[in-house]
Amino acid sequence: MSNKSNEIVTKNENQVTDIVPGFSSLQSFELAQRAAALLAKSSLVPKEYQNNLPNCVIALNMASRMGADPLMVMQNLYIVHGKPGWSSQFLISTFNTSGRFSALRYEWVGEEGKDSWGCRAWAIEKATEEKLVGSTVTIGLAKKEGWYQKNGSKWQTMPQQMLMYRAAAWFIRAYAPELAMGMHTEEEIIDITPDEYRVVRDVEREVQENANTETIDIEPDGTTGDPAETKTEQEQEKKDDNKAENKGDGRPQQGAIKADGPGF
Amino acid sequence: MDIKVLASGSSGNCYYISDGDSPLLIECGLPWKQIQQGIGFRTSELAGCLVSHEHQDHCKAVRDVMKAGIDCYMSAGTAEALGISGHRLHIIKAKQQFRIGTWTILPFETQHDAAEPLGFLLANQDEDKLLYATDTYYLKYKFQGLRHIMIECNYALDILQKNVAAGTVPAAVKDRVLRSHFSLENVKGFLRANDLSDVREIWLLHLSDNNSDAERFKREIQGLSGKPVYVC
Repeated sequence: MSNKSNEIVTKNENQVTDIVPGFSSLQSFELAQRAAALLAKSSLVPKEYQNNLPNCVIALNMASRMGADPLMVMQNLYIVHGKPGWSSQFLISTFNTSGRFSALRYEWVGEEGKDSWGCRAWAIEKATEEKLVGSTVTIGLAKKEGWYQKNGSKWQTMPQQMLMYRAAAWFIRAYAPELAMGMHTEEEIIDITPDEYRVVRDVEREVQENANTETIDIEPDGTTGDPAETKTEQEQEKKDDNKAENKGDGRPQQGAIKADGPGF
Repeated sequence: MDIKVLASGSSGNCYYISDGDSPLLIECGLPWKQIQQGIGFRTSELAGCLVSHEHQDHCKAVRDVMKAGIDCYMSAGTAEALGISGHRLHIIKAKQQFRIGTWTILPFETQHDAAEPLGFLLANQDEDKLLYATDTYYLKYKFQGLRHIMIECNYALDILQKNVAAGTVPAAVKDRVLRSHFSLENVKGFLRANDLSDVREIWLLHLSDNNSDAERFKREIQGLSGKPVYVC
């Protein structure tokens, strides 16, 4: 009897261990919410996830589906024009560590500096030992698609990197689409979004980088002058009608400024 | 704390704030007569007037206010842009707190296409803390222990883009709005980044005539914050 109950306990414990955060069951969803509540309070997660439980739950679900670390997913999932997109490095590293393929490699075509210059990604599928080859991306293609000419386009400043990133993104979507989970890379979203959204994109990025980054507060115990004292001085100045300017009269004092740091 | 909105938006901004001891005006972007009427002609009781920046919808009456014997507080850049001086003018600096009557005020930089725009964090002796931030497309700062939030919520990006597509808003105007005014989306980001547990009310200010939807803004901010939201 006691052995039987031990077996049941062991089984239940294993069931709990098997639960992963996500939407697959009530327990899984509850776990996702608990984990999200913790992450949302962290100052180490990117701003889009701070105090934002729904975003954290989505990231946790993606992380468990990809077998990736949640913080890594959060740090590499960008919102561009309201659309989520992966950083190219993350997508490539997810592919390389998937275990099903060799690491991505590139074959170059054409002449550097010419429209014919380009590359294609390839990898070996471990199960079949077959060499898989992706589509070729060239500078000429980038120009035809209108990616190259866009204001601030990285195709003009770092063409080699862009060719490799685009070739990799196309390869992964062709041979392992489940890794990208149907999403484009950040660079692809920027390229396919019309130029009129450039300012929107730039502002979004500026806001993401700079908004809500520093905590400031009023210093409670009076580094400022006494209000009565300030008023007296003001009254004195009022008598001096010839005084044309009176700058610095509010008796400004240094406020308490606290920088936010990472931690729990 | 008593908050009264005399006007809010591109046609004029003027807010009356009182803690029962030292009534203040924030902005004076209305004709002086309207301000007088709006506060029941009790202008002599005003302890001061804070001006965020030099655009006329925020300071149209600044000379009349100073002439009426009311001290005006603004940045050096704002004063210079307005070309004003005098003993009623008080120059304030970002992150340097000062006092007016029972208020302690901490100005901070905002992001707007003006010379030296400021927002204000105000606290009175009852530790009632109010944040005032308008004409800024984001805030660099977070705040603690806020009880009253008065914040711009000028436009929603989807409405703005729809208006640009329909030709009712020129693309150049859109670009300027993006880099000078608070969107619904960014206001939400700001509220998420701050601890709202002490907040009693949120005032959404400076809604655009064309690119906003007061009912939707109120619904969405109320849903996000769980606080009473007033739209003006």
